[in-house]
Amino acid sequence: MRNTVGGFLKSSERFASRSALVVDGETLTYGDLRRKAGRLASLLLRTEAPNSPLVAILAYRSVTAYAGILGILAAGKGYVPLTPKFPAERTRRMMILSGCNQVIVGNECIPHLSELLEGFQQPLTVILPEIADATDLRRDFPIHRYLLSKDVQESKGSVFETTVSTQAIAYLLFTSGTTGEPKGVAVTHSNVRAYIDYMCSRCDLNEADRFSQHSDLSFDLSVHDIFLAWERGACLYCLPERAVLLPAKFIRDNALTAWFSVPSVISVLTKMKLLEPDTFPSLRYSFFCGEPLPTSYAQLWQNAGTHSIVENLYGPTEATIAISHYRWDRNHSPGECLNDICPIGWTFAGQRSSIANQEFNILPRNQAGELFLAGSQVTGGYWNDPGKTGAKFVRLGSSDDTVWYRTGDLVKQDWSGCMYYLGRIDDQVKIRGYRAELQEIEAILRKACGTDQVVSVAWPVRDGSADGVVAFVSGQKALDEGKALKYCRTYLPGYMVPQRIYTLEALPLNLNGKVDRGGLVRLLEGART
Amino acid sequence: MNRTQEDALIASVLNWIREHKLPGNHHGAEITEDIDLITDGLLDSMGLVDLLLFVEEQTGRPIDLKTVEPKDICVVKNLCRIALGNEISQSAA
Repeated sequence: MRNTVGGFLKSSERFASRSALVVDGETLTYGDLRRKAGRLASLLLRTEAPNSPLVAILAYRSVTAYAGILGILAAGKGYVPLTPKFPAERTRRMMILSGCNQVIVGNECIPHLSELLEGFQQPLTVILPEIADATDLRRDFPIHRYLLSKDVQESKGSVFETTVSTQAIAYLLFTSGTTGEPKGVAVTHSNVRAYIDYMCSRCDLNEADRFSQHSDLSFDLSVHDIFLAWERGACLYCLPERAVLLPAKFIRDNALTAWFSVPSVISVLTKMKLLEPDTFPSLRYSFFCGEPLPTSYAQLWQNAGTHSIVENLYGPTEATIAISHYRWDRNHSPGECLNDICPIGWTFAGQRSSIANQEFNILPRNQAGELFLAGSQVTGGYWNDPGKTGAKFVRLGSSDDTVWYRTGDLVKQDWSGCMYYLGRIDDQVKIRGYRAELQEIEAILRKACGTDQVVSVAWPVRDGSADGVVAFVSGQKALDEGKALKYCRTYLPGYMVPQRIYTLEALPLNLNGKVDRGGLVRLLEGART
Repeated sequence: MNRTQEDALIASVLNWIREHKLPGNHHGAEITEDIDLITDGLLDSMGLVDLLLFVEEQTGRPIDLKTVEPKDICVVKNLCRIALGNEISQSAA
């Protein structure tokens, strides 16, 4: 099987002196990046522990982040992206669950590394490519081995494993889990190749393109940016953290040609009146994914990027970045939207989709049901978790032995095969594009509030996308909200921490005796007006 | 630049953050005019939008985000200076 870095390797041979990466004020050529990655790969292989297919990378919008990912893949390993934006407790859990015993750390994440190593019992090899002296770390956390900039520089050879086994993992991403613990989605090189090859076949991208890199590395939209750009010999522009919020100037200043983000970005730019017609004349491709794309947003972006093809992509992490697409047409598309939301379109050629009911029976066209996915992009299941894998990767009633991933998304398909997203069939929500299980938030809230009577709702929801979460508790009159929120912050990433925790005499129930989440949303709406 | 005007705007922005956007584990006293609202995790993208709209409402003038570097508006002191600088330069013109 061809390694995911195969495209980069070819591009580095064809375009050694062309820019491959602009990040943190630095520009690196393909040659520069290949040398850095090759040294890291060589060091990883020299210092690896047996039976360890994964290496963690704790780096944020820095050269080390990208050289590290390339180096890990070049060593024939899979990468586990960790982010300093998550609480140390959650990151530590991810490290333990992944079984990594090597971690590459960027200079910008040293404070976070100390928090992570606090209480970490298993010996690690910590690679610090930008650090010359680790006296403090060695003193405070002596059980670990530290390899510094000198070790990386002196690392002999430049390894690039061009082939890997069919089932080799390219990356392991953790998503929100319903039991209060994140779950790992293992994505293979084979899954990634299927995605990259398909996107290359239908998009005319080349070495003159300038790709955005907007998403965090822990979000799989970043995989599209990084590997599609390097497959084509293009340059990847990593947005600085503050430009992520208002990227208009960055797009213009760097004349980006390919954009990929969640639709929430359009909401922010619109509110700040930054999406005027022809704002982004350089854009050739604009992709949106991760949450519903409202009709008005697609129109606004199309007007801002007059020359750009605008596409709405859809796909869960388990199906590798995206698995269906809808190309916006300024004349016809407004009439094809349902509930003012852009269709999620057609399944990628070679991939499969079915809409079925809760008994796993396939439904006729035009009938709404749960979307099931299969094909070369669909992953094999959750990392070391056969229970969760068995629950989500299933066989459909009348089909062959194909294993289908049940998305939990309520979808309808019209006679042409075009699919429309209608909502969720469970308690999963998207908060500014990030996937979150309300059950996971509630599992933490129960501990934080000392009561089982907790419920969380996505709030506020603007243009079909949630900005955050609000919680309600009952049975705990003397709740210290600040203390409870502080507890939540220890275990949950920022976007999953409730904005407020309200105390009620009793939680409202619906006719079935279940907590009436709709009633709580109406309560919040009432308080707003 | 009118220093009193700038101080007053900084004070009202800090109050707004304490009242509207302070996460549960932050103490109001920790918020200063020099803190980076984004890297220190006080505001997310929508929070920043709300803050910018508040500042525009206070000054009565839009902030020209087409030319301003995002990093310059993430620190309260700089944001207030930019917001008032726009007003002064525009009225002078």
